Amino acid sequence: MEKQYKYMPKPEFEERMKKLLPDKEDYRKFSEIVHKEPLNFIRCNTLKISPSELKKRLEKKWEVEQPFSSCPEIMLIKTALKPGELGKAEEHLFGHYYVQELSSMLSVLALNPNENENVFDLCASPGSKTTQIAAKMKNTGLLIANDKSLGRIIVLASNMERCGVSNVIMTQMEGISLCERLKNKIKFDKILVDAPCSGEGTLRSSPETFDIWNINMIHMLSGLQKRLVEAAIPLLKENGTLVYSTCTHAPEEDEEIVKFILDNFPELRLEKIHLPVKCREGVGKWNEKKFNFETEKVCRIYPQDNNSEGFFVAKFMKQQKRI
Amino acid sequence: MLPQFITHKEKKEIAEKLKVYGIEKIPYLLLKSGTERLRAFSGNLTEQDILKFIQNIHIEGYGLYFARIDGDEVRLTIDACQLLKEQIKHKILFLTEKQFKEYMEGKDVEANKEQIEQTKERMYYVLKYGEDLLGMAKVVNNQIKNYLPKERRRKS
Repeated sequence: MEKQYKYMPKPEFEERMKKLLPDKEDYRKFSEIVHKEPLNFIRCNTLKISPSELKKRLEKKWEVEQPFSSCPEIMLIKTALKPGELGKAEEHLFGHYYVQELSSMLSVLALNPNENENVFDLCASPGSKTTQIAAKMKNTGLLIANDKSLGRIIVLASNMERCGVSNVIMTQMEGISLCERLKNKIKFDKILVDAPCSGEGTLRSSPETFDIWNINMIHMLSGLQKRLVEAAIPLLKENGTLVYSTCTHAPEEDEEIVKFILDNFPELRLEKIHLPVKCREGVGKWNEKKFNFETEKVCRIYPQDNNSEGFFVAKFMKQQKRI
Repeated sequence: MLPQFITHKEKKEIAEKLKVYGIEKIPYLLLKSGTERLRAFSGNLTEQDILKFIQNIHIEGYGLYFARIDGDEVRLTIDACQLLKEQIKHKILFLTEKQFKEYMEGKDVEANKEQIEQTKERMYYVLKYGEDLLGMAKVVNNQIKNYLPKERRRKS
C-alpha cells in the first residue's frame, strides 16, 4: 500500500514525473525522497571567515563535513539539529555562513563570477546566490541585484548586510523593465537568471508545493521565463556568460527555455557545465516538442541522485561578432 | 533612492575619527542614507557612473550599512567592524562569556570594574569576544549599551 503523507502529489504531477523518470526503480526513489527533509547544507561566507576557521568553530558543536574538496566553502552539518538551530547559531548571526541547500549553490558554481567583473543577478531574493556571487567576487567589481517585490527585497537587503556585501547595488523593479532601462548603460560579464519557477525541485523543503502545483502555472511561468531571458541577453558582453537556472523539473521551464534562447539568439552558444555532483542530461523530447540541441550540456539535478533538492542549470556564452 | 555622496572633506573627517581605532584606510565610497547613516560601496563605479546608472532605475540600496554619525562621533556597524577587523587595533573592549551571551540577546550589559576603568573616556569602543567583533558601544552609567540590530540578536 502506498504510504500516506501530509502532502501528496497530484496525479498529473505523478504522471509527468513518471514520464521524466521512466525507470520504475528510479521513480520509486524519487517519490520516496521528496517526502524526506533535506540535508543541512551551509555555505561558508568567505567575505567574513575562511572555511577552515569556520569548520574549526562549528566542530565544537556539530559534526561537519566538506564533501567537495574543490569547494571547501560547501559544508554539510551531519549532526541532527533542532528546528531553526542553524539560523540561531551565533556564526549565522555574524554572517559567517549562509544556510543554503546544495542544489541552490550550483548555478553560481556554473556562472563562476570573478573579481572585478560586472555581474547581474536578475531575480536575486532572498540572496543565497547573490551573497555567493559577492563572495566569489571578493566584494570587487559590480554586482547588480534585483527583485521585483518590495517584501522580498527587504529580505535580500537583510541577508546582504549580514554577509557583509559591499559591492552591490540593489534595485527593485520588474525584471523586464529593468533590463530595458539598463540597455545602452551597462554590459555585464556574467548574468544569472535564476528564474521564478514552479518549484518542483523544492518539495523536500517546501512540501506545500505539492498542493500549489498546477499545470497552468507551469505554462504561465514558461512565458515569463522566456521574456526574462529575452530581456537580459542584450545586456551580456561578448564572451560573457549567462546562466539560466530553475528549481523545477518541468521541461516547459527548463529545456524549452534553452531552446528558445538558442533559436532566438544565435550568438549564444550552449556550454558544458562541470559541477561536483551527479548531473543528468536534458530531455530531448517532451510531449510534441523536440529539443534538438546538445542536451548533454545542460544539467538536470534529481533529488535521488545527490540526496539534494531538484534543480536545472544551463550555461551560455555570447560569441564575438564576426567582422 | 538618490545617492547622497559625502564630500571629500566629510570623508577626511570620518577617517580622522576612525584613526583612534587603528583604522587607516576606508576602501569604500561612502554615501549618506538619511541624515545619520553612512553606507559603504566597494563596487567599481565612480560617483558620476552611479549618477548615470540610476537614471530611471528604482534603487533600493548601495553597498552595506557602514556607520552611524552620532554628533561628533562615528559608530561603526557590526558588519563594518568585521570587514575592517584587520585594521582595528585600539579601543577594544573585551567581553566575558556571560556578557557576550547577554549582549547577543539584545540586553544592555553591566560593565565590570576593569571595563569601567578602561572606558573612562566617553567614546565608542569596539566590542570583542574571542575572535569576534560585535560592533561598537558606549559605557553609560556602568552599562555597556546594546546596539546590536534586532535581526542579529539571539532569540531565546
